[in-house]
Amino acid sequence: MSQSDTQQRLDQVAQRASAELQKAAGQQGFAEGLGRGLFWFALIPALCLGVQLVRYFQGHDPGFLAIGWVVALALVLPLLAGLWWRSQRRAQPVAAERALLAVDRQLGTADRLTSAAEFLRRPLAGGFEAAAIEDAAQRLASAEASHLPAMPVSIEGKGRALVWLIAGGTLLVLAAQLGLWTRDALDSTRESAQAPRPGATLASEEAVAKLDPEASPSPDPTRAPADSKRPSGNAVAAKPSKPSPDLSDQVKESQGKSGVGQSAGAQSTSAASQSRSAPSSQGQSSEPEKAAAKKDDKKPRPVAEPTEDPEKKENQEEDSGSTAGKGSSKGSNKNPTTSSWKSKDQVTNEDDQQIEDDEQAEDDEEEQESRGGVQPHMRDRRPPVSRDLQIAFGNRSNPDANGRGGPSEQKKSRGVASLVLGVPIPDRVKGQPGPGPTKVTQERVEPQAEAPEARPASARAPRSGPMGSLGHPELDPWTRAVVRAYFLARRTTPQQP
Amino acid sequence: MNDKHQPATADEARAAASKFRETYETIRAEVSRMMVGQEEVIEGVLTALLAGGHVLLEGVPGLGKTMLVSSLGRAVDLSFSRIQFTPDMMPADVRGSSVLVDDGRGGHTLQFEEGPIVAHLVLADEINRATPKTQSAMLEAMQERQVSVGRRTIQLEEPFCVMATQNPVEQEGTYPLPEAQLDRFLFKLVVGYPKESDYKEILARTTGDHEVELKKVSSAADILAMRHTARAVPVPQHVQDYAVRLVMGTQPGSAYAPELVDRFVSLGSSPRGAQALILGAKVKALLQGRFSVAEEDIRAVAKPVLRHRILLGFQGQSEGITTDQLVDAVLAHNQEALGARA
Repeated sequence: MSQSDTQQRLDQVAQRASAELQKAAGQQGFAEGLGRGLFWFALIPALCLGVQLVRYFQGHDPGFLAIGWVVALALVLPLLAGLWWRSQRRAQPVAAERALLAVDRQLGTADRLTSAAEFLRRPLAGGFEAAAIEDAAQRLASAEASHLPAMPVSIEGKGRALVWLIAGGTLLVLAAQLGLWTRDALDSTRESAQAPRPGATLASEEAVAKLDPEASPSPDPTRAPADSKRPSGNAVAAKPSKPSPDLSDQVKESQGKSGVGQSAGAQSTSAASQSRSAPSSQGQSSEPEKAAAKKDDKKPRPVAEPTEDPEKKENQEEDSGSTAGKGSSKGSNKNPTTSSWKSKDQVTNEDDQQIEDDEQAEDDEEEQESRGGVQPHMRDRRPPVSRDLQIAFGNRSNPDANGRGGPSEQKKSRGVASLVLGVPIPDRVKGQPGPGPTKVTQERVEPQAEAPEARPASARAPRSGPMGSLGHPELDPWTRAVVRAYFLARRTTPQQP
Repeated sequence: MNDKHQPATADEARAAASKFRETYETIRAEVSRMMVGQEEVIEGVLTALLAGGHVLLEGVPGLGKTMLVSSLGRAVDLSFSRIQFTPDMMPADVRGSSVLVDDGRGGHTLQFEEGPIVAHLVLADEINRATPKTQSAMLEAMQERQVSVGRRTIQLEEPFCVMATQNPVEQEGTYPLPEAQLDRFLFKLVVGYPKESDYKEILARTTGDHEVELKKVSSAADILAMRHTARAVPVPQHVQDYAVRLVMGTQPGSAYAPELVDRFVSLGSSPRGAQALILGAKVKALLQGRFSVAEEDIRAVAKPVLRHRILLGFQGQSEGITTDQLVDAVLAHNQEALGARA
């Protein structure tokens, strides 16, 4: 066989092996792309579910997309990824040298074909190269007859792919379930919205209408009926005429209290102003009340503090009632801005007081807005347990305590009122006096002799037992021993971050 | 390489390769008459001898290292000398020195006496017991194949091969070979304990009355011819690349180095390692009946070639990592030589 024939046959073997390798690479690429694109199988249902939830909370029908389309999209995208990777891999050419090497490995010819192909591409340098080519030619027949075995196709990251599959399946089921459930719920909601709603009493309706005829129902989601699962927008739209039962109860309980529909802070403020302006006519609305009602028109507020103590309510009522005839009262002692320092130390007329109350209400509003209505107002909290070691009379607190520092009542608030000039605030951090200069004095003392105590020497007996084996010192080089000891010691001690 | 030793035709190449294998087998069989077991060591020593390199034999005492080398000297009809290295040995004891010689007329003349290094086969027994000064006396002889004493330079006769032994256990009072000298050895062979079946044969041969006498089955000329034949074996490009990748794989920070090398190696192989890989692989290819070197030939000689060219770092020594493990890691990392390149 001539060398040209050998080269031609080697080229044919190389071409065929290249094609087989490209095919195998394409299959592997498809599996790889499929594995990498499987996250779409989870992402598409997740997106669908998210859109459904958003639409549900907006009050629309969430089952906007047919579940079949979602499944189809979730399956098609990974397949497209696999096909793209397959085409990419197949587009990469396989060198003839690599193909022949694969054939060599399959036949166990120890690079004979690869070496012969290389020697044929260059001028022969000696007899050994010619012998190598002839040697390879003898093995060409078996190479031509053989085909490269199909490479096992494996998906990269099987565990990850399985996770995507499970997550995608779960999300698909969830999306389908949510679509079905919300559709049923909407249907039932529409049916119930068309039917008349029982429950609200005429008296409470009248009371609410008397209090605030233009007031719309509270948008507070906590006031929505518990059995209603509809979106809040729908809930508002579906029951415009139904008064809140909580609201009516509150109205019944506190007839004449102007704090209805306001926050606790506003309630206390308005209670104080009510006591000033309309001392004896409970149930009639005063000017501050009207102002508060106007503010309520602007922005609705929670009706009452649910955690409020009934005794405190009574006290409040008593306070406002008892101070009704004085013309000026402390108001609620929960309010720091209307605390005793103001009423005692500052002489304010009624107009100033009203302006101040208006400003205070605006401050409260701003505060409420800045808090987003999430946190309850500070002044509504119970005062903390007093840790002040003040002088007290039995169980009663110090009557002289006025919140101006020193042994006094627990300071009730911080913030604006505390920062007003002229209000001394006791230091919270107790200082310590310095130790002062240190003086060291040395005295010269003559050493005095002492009688030593005689100690009896213990008897030393000869060794009774054997010495034991005295190990021969380590014969390894000293570096090795030192290194080993160092790392052993390092492993035994816990690692410090 | 001299062209007159290069086979011109395929037939000549086949004949040279065939003669190579025959001679090799004859020598190996003769040495095996004296050495029982240790087939890998015998093959390694013969491969290094035919590749033109030196061998470092490492093993505990009593395994026949010295006997192997002396048997080889007798079977190949090469001049053989043995140097027992001790801490008080001086370079002159290795290279030779000028001594006063009686001239026969009542006077004395200064005459140069060659040291034991001037021989075909030199057994440097327990080479790590000599001081670095004496060890360095071997450097020139091993690399340049010549000895310089004063103004005199003695060319060592080919084939010249140093076979050194060292005991890996008894390290007290020894001077480990410096990297520069270790690099001069083509192979480092680890002589292990013989198998159970070999013990009986060893006892029968060494404790009986019959003494084994080795015949001279080859000559220095044969060895030289075999060396030329081995050097004529072509190396395909992809095999050269593979050898280079393996050597670079022993160097920390290299692109071909596995993680184990990066962590535990402080110094990798030099280009001499690649030369040694190719030379040893050529002999292996001929012994396998091939006319060109394959990757598997490189792999066959990777451990003897690379294990003494890798210097373990501080952490590697403390972790008990061996250089054989590192070579295995390098081989595994560079398994697909062409796969990564294509």
